[in-house]
Amino acid sequence: MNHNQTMWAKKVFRLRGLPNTITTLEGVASLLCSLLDSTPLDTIHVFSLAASLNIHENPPSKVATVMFDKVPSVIRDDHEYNNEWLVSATTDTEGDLTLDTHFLGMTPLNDSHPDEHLYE
Amino acid sequence: MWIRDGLPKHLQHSRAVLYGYESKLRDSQSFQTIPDLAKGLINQLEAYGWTLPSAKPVAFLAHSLGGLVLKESLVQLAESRNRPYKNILETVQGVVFFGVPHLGMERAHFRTIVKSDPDEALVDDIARNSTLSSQAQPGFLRYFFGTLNSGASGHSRPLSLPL
Repeated sequence: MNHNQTMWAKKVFRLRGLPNTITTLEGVASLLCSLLDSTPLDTIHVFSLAASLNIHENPPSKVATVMFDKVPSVIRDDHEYNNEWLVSATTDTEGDLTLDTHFLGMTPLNDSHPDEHLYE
Repeated sequence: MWIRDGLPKHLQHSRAVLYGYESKLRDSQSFQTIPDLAKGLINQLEAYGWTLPSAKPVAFLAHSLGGLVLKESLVQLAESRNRPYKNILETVQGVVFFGVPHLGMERAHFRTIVKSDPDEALVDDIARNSTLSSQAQPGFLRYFFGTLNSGASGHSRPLSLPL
């Protein structure tokens, strides 16, 4: 693995705009695999999935944290001045996803059941 | 990321949230100061519902420079007459600081950390004996140490986390 690949393999990405219907880490990986070129499922590692904090979304979209064994071409081909990338949806009913490494703003890392959610 | 992978397992009934900020102004070569960054945090807390009655109690974990930004945010909230900002303050149960330069940092040490292209405004803000260092710490202590020190025993109240 060359230096660049090693560097990318250690990067944690934030993935925003996931449909509320995605409920598992495996579901996130499958969706990403279907939307990214040449990115096999077993090279995508999803570590968290949580509802967006945007109180105006109903239902809220979801946010995940992801790592890649091999950097997807959408990132590899446009990373010199960019730290946010659009992952286009394949149908009109799906929204585009956003991958970033800047993690600006608020990023929820887990959900807590409404009846049990006591602290932040 | 222990905050993502470990903390929620140990702290039941809690949600972990990361806060990221940019010290550089968008589309500009100018950098933001710690008071600017503090305003940004307050704006985000307001935008995401922490002024609402339904907001959950919050414990902050702050690392390095982030601790200075958080302290300045808490002081700005304490000094504000804005009722929603007081609501935010009332949700704060405590803060855990990790490696925060409360009394400032030698400029040379900070430059070593940021290497090239240092944020000169931040270098000045957190330098030892800077205006911010000499005012922010007493301000924070004045507003919050008294709160933490309250209680019939008169002793400091430790932050209780269900670990």
